[in-house]
Formats: sequence, structure tokens, C-alpha cells
Amino acid sequence: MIAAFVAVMALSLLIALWARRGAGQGPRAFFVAGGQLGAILFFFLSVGETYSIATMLGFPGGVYAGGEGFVVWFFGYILLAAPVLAVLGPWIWRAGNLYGAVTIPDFFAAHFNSRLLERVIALGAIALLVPIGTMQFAGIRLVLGALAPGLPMPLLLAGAGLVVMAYVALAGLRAAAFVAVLKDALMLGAILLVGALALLHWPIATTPVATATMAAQVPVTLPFALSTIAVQALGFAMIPQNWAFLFAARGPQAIVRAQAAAPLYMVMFPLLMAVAVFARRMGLPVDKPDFVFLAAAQHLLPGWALGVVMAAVVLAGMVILSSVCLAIAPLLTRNVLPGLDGRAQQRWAQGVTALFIALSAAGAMAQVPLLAMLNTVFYFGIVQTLPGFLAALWTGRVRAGGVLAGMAVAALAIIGVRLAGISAGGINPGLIGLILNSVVLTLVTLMFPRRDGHSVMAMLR
Amino acid sequence: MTALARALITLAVPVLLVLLAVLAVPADGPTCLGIGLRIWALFACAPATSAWLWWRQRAVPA
Repeated sequence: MIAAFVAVMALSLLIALWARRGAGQGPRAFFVAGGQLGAILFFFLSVGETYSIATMLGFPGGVYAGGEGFVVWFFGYILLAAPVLAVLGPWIWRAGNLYGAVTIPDFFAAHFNSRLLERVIALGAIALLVPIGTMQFAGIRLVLGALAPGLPMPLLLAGAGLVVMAYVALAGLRAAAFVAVLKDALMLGAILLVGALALLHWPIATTPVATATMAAQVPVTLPFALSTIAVQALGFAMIPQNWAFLFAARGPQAIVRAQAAAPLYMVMFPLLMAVAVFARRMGLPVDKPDFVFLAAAQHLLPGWALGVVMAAVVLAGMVILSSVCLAIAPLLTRNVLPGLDGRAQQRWAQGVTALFIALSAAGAMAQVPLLAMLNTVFYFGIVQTLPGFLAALWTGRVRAGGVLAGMAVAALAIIGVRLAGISAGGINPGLIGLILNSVVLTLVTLMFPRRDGHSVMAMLR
Repeated sequence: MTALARALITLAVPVLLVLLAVLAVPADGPTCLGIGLRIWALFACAPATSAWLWWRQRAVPA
């Protein structure tokens, strides 16, 4: 099992090394693959979230422990993120091209002519990305703990962190894209194999399972599920690494075609859900609901195949981690600390990457409670740049102050709702913040319109 | 037709499909592989959304 796992990891490093061939020079080549990713590589990079560590561990875990509301929320948001990106993706690409942007704050700084807005968005994005790293390491920890229970966990997580840094150092975003192909091939193979074997061994009679393992991790009501789908599907388009993926595409058509194929790519979800139902009916011993897919794989597969499945899950976390590192580094070196020379930029980028990995791994080691809550907090915050972006697309009358005021009111409203424990009918506070953000932005624009601005659409005409 | 109207139509169809699956299909009733009718209806939205987006992307310039 361990030999198969190590072989897959070694193969991924060879692929990352191979990805250096044809890579250009300079930050744009490194951070957004020079905007030259072909249709296939762009597809695997951009729809990678479909088969992420959350899909392999969290989705069956949620099915196992939770109810239908979880499936509606998880499946619904990934599904609707595709049409949102199909619509917004080409405009993000064109807007990035217009201003030569590599990051989201690059665009806001250039369009609204505001360093303050640039820094606020950059610092907010950096802070919000740490929980994403923690979640990847939490999943990796779960797998590595089962793979090598005798070895100290800090050592295993440090090893995973070093592999991530190697991907980043070897070929930047090109390495993430190339390794994503291996990851998705292994993931799809693993789901197909475990799912098919589960169907072949489908139990006739059900075995009762202890109530403790059946308890829902996060109770998901329908209003919460539907409002969270809206926040997360819209927020998906404003994730820093997703902008990097979009800028890496050759053109708008490649983006829309990839997003058109993305929902079809979700074809394996029924099998994932069936595996969770299988594990529950078989009464397989599962310490944590998130381990349910691996528990079924353990039950159905020989040791070496289980090692490959575990490697696929760990690769999924590491691909996301490397793309987040590549999103954070330019946020710091271009937007927070501009004006650094080439060598200083490189040093800061390496330093912040190492710090991000260390903080994320430490968060996973500390078993940060309520990771699902951190994920929701990530989307609460990340989606708040959307009203400003949409306004920039359609009108030239918005000032940076309007965007900042909208985001500030949204942040205060979200924090207030959470601290006061207001349920708001189960509606996701991020959606309440988004609506308030849009209202404030509109009011400020009506009161203090910009006179010298042009919309992105007008500039692209 | 404006870009905004085109965008809204492209988004509206998948959103309506999901809402229809979640709100109009009963949660109880027959199951297949332990998965209820509502969730199967939700799963069926995926290929339908792909087909819709593929049809809509014809108008996007390269």
C-alpha cells in the first residue's frame, strides 16, 4: 500500500518536472502559465474543484452523516458554479487582458485607480485563503494517518508540504495543471472501481449503525442549502486562484467550453453517494464520517489499490494547495508590497508560500473546530468583491469608495448576524451581506457618481 | 440582445432546473441505491446543464 502511494507521488513530481518544458519566463508565465494553457489542460485545472479532497472525503461523509440538505447544497453549488463561470469567466479574462492583470486586486487597482482598494482586497483574500489550506491539510492528515499510523503526523504533513513547494518551484501553475490531469484520472478510476465493487457487493439486508456516527456534522435546512448554493456558486467566480486559472486560458471560448463540460463531469457523484450508502448499510467501522469513502475502499480493494486511491485523494489536496500558493504569492508581492525588485519579489513569494503551508498544516494539526464553518466564512468574504466587479463591467460611474463602503457594510452585517446569533430564517449570512453590499454600492454611486470612468464593456468595444 | 440579457438567460435555465428538482420533486417515495427521487432529479440537472451551456457557447467568439 505504501509503495503504491509513494510511486504515485514520485510520478506526480516527474510530471511537474516535465511541465517545465515549454514554460516561458517572467511572473505571468509562472503565475498564470503565460495565458497559454490549451483546452485540455485548462479543463483539468479549472474543473479540478469538481473532484477535490472535499468531494472525495467530505461529500460521502456528508451523505453518511447528514441528510439530503447536504447533498442539495454541495452538488447544487458545484453544478451552478459552471454556468456562473461560463457567463462571467470570459468577461474576467477580457478584463484581465485589458489591464494586464494577474490577480483580482490588479484589476480593481487599475480600473478604480485606487491603491487602498487594491490592498484591502489583497489582504482580505490572503486571510480568507488560509482556511482553504487548512481544509486541504485536514483531509491529507486523515489519509496519511490511515496510510502510516506509526509515523509522527507533523513529519508526514511536512513531507506533503515539501511536495507542494516542489510543484510550485518546478513549474508554477503549469505544474498544477499537469498534475491535475494525473489526479483526475486516478480520482475517476478510484470512484468507478470502488463504486462498481460496492454495487456488486450491495447488501440485501441493512445493518444498523450506531447513532453517534449517523449524527449530522452540520444540520442543513433547505433555506440554508439554497442560499448557500447562491453564495458559493457566485463566490466561486471570485476565488483568487480561479482568476489565475481563467487568465491561464487561451481565450473566452476555451473557458466557456470547459464550463459546458464541467457539469457532465459530475457524472460520478451518484456513485460516490452510493458508496456512502453502501458503507452505512454494511455497518463498516468509520471513526469519522469523512473517512467513509476510504473505509469502503479499504473493505473492497487490495492493499496496493488502496494506496493508489489514497494517493489520488492526497494529490487532490496538494494540487489545490499549490494553486493557492500561486495565488497568494502575487497578492503579496504585486499588491501588498509593490515595487520590490525581482530577487526581493522571489524571496517574499517563497517566504509567504512557506508560511501559508506551515500555518495551514498547523491549523490541521490543531484540529481547528468546525472546518465546515471556516469554509462558509471563506465564501462569505470572497463573494463580496462580486458587486464591484459587476459594476465595473456595466458602468463607469462607480468609485472605489462605493466598492469599499459596500464591502465594509457586508463585513459588518455578516459579523453582526453571526455574533448576535440571528438565524434570519436559515438564510446564509453571506447572501444577506451580498445584498446589503449591492444596495450600499448603488446608493453611494447614485450620490457620488464618478465622472471620468468608463465601463469595462465600453472599453472593450 | 444585450450581453446582460444573454447572460441572465444562460444562468436562468440551470437555476430553474435546480429549483425544480429541489422544490417540485418529493423527498420521500421510491429510492434507487438508497438515493431518493429528489436527489436523482438533482443529479439529472448536470447533463441537462452541460447540454444547455454547450448550446449557448456557440455564440462566444474565440
